[in-house]
Amino acid sequence: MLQALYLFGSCYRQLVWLSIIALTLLLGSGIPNIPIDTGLDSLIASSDPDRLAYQRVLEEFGTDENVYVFIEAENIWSLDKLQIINRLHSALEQVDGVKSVSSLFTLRTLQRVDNELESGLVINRELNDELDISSLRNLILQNQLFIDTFFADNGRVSAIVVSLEDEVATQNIQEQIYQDIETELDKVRGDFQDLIQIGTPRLNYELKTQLAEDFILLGPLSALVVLVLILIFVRSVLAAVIPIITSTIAIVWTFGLQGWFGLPINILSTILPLLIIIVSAFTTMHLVIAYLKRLRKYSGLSHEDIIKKISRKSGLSFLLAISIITIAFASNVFNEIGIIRDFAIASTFAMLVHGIISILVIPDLLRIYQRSSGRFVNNNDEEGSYPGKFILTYSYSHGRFAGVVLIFTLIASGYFFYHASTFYVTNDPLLFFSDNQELMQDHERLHEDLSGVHSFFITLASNSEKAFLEPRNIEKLSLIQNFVREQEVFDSSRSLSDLLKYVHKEIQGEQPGLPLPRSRQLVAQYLVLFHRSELENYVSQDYSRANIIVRHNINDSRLLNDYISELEGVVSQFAGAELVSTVVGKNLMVHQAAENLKHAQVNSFAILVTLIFIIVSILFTSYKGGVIALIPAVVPVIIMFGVMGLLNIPLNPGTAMVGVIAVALAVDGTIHLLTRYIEHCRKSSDFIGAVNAAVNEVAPSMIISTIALSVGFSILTLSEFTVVAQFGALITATILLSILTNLLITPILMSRIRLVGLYQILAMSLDEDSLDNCILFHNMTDYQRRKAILISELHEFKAGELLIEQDTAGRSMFLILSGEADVIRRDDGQDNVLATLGCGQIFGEIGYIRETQRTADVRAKSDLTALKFDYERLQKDLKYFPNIVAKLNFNISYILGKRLADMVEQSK
Amino acid sequence: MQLFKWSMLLVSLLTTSSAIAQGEVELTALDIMDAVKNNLKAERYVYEEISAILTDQSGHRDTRQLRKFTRISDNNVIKFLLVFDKPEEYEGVAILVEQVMDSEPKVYLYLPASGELLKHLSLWNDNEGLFGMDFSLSQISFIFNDNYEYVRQADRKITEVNYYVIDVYENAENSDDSLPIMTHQVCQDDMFITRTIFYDQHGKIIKQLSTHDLNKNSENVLNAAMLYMIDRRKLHSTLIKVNKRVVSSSIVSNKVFTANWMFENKPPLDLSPTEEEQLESELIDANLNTFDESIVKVPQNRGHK
Repeated sequence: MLQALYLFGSCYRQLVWLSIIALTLLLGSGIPNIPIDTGLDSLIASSDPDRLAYQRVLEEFGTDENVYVFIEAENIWSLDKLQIINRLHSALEQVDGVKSVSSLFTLRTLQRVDNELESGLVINRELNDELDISSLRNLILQNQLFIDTFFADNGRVSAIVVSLEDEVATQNIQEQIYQDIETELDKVRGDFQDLIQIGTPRLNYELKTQLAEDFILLGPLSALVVLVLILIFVRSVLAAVIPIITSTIAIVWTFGLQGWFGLPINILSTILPLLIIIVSAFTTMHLVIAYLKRLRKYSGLSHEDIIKKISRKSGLSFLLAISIITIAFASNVFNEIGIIRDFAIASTFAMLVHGIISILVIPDLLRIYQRSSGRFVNNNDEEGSYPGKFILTYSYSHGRFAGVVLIFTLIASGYFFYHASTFYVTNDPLLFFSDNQELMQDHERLHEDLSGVHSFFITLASNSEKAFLEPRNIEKLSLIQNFVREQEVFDSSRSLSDLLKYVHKEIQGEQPGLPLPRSRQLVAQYLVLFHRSELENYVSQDYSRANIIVRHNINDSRLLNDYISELEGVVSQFAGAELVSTVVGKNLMVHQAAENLKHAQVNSFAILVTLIFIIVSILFTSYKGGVIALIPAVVPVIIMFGVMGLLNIPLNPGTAMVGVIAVALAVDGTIHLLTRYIEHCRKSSDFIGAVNAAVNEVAPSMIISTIALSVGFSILTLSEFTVVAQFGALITATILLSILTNLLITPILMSRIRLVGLYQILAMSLDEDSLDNCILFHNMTDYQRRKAILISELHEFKAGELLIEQDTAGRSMFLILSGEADVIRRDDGQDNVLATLGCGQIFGEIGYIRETQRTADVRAKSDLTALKFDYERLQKDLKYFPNIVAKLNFNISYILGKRLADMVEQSK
Repeated sequence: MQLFKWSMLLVSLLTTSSAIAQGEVELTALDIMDAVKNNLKAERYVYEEISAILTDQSGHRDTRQLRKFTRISDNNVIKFLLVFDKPEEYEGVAILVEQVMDSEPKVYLYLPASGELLKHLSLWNDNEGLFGMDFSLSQISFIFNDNYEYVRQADRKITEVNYYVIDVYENAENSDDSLPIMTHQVCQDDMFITRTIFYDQHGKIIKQLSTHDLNKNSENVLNAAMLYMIDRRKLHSTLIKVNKRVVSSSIVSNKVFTANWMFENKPPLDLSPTEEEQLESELIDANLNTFDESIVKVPQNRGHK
């Protein structure tokens, strides 16, 4: 079946190529329609219980995402500058998507002068020379309602706050708004020392811009690197071009499908083209090198025959590699965080289609080699070559210091596992940018001079209307704000309490401690002095719900979650039994998703490891195979997480996927090693020799492909996104570690076990009729019989070759699988053929029981295949395959007993 | 233009009415607005009991009860008093407006909770909305600002009724460049403004005022028993309903428009804490003292700001 699969592409070339071209054109037409998602919603867990509460608060009190225009000038308090700010304010009001603009020109004050109350706009928009700027400045800088929101107390900095329409905020179509605002700012930028736009539109815009730059840079660069590396190691242009062809088709199909189905690309998608190219190079290298080797070795064979050989030797490994890599990506498909889920769906599809395309296309492309001449693969397995030296070093170390290596690995794993428990998780999109980028610096400026750009709400709700006309409830708002101040981690907070304190002070006069009005009527009558629009962010229409707006600049998810958790406890305590408290905000949900990220990765890692264990155990018909496959893959991941804990590298949406991908790639190498080891074990009882032979065969391509992988992934460190660069650095390091563990630990573990491949069992062709009657396999199922054959030594003899020599000692017995052999007794120089043995017949069983001299020759009459059962080896195998060996021993005892009975019978 | 030059208005009314009747003269915007103002000429002493129903965007309603006293003296001094009766928190809150011919109105505010009558001139120029309602003070008082320029637009016909459409500009100067601040829709049959649309400085609609339930008063001119203002951007509205209307010089005497009357109507509140309030205050302090500080973590990495 494997052969048919690999030959399909060659046999139906036109159909396959036409189909691929047609599908490519069809799917590729979807690429222009791919949506781009850089919004915060994709970072929030879909099941976040706060979503509903947040939506309600949003509808009631307005958005927590505003755009801030930061203005700095030494002479900001001059008529000229104020006029420019006034014009800018008007211009911003006209930008499509802007709901309202607040600045110096919309602020109202209330002042009592003797018996006169003056309330109204701080400054009239019709500025004239008579404006007393000095008084205006003093008035504003003394009003605590304005400081930290609209003005810095240094007197040089002001801000315009732009609120966006709700539809704009939720649909993530803010790029145009950012550009429109920037157009207005550009007109007057030269008039100020600093004029900066800060907010979600800018964040989205910069994410999209950076995304595009990464796509343009990383994909083609990785393709170039892969090309060069393959040319260096394999010295074949075709070998370099094949993965580019298959990966290009897979990329077009993947992005095309995303366009058709509206699956958005996001920051992590910049990894995808590079990933496809590198995995393509990694997986196809084995096939290409295997083909080139056989082409050199079997120069007379046809292309189809070589493909058949490859499919038998490497075909299953290739399928397994694709399957495991696909499963690794699929383990995140149900992740609750949209950015990871969308990436997982796209990458799973990409790996799957790449595998299908490779199987269909590569065998046909390899045909080109047959037609060409010239140099092929460099002999990287020779001892003089670099891979050869590498292998020798490891052969030496694991041969002599196996125990030391294992103990050291165990200790190191324990150490790093401990530190892995200390790494932290962060989910803030701002941390996708490096500290030295302008966006980060601008956020810091806003935080230092005014208040941070992030906001969240503390809401208290009562069942009764007008609850927040009651002084005791207003007092609770004030107490909560006092605590927020004492936490010293948030920048500012505003609530109804601040407005009332301000009015009370103006009407009653300055009093120590800025008290609140102590009667319900006074609270209500003070509030009539405010416009509805001034109150609507802080209290509901019916005064049953009140809102505190808190601003901050904390980007570390762990820290913020800790502070919020503390705050929630305090708020709940102050609220008491009669008020229901809520602390919500979009950025809070983003940071809370960080915890979800951690759990999700542990889950997906566990699922992947379990699946790999099951698959490999079935594949090698032993759970030990599953364990061996996992250890060299998991150890590097543990070390990686430990290093993250030690170096304070956070787990984020990018680095979260390193573990599953690294495991999948490492397991591929282990499977190749195990497969070759099993093959060699069938030819010799020297397990150590079998290990060394397997390593020598597999290591060169493993080293080459690992180096190619590492170099390819290291290109991601060029990304401006820290999450992508960190992903690239970590996965590069992990893959390099995995080659060390695969060549160091896997051989040590392999030498202590024996395995049988399930495929070998299923694919084995036997003369079923003959073997059905063979007493050696009496009472065994077909599966057990096949396995028994596979755990034995298989020998092939040419016609005329001697299997057993008369008068020599031996402890083996043989079972003929195919061909015929003569039993010849040599007496006085004459050869007498005593019997001719065929398939299913046994000889040499006496020697199996006790070492004794052979009583006759056994010579192959035709080309013959026989299983050799060596007594000592079977006793060793007893501990690996107790059930089967026990049955074999029982059947051998029966054979001997029957032979003895026959001899006794004959002697009578 | 003087609001209350009776003779000139009367003349212009007669002239305009005659022109309208004869259909001979194309009316200018000013002619139309003069006719409108004449129609809005109130009786000299009017007492009204009003309900104001405030509705927010989620549909929640809040109702206020007010009394409105309007008096026009012989020397054309207008006095206007608005007194809140309900809800309980606003009981006694009063706004007094006095306008002498050709001068800016003087506005006074009485808050029983503060116990003082304070001058509050900026209330008059505040178009945002009075005390949470969507109406400004001038819109409730129907005292017009006459410093406007009017420009007539094309007439409209809605369900067989013809309307004049008048754009209103803030300043007489530079009206070519400026945008209108509002547009009146005037019913041609009775020269009454049935709808007014208000714009922001960029020409976007912010509010709409409509008049309903028109009745003729004692001087045979129309009054609207209901006024409805909707804020188009924030989706909240206020309905003003005149429940009772009495023309009486004894009810609307000069005495009503004095500080003493306001103090008698609702004496300044005694804000010294009651026993209950004292207890509440002590409870708040006690809560502070029993605040469980164990839930507060030891500050680490603090000093973010």
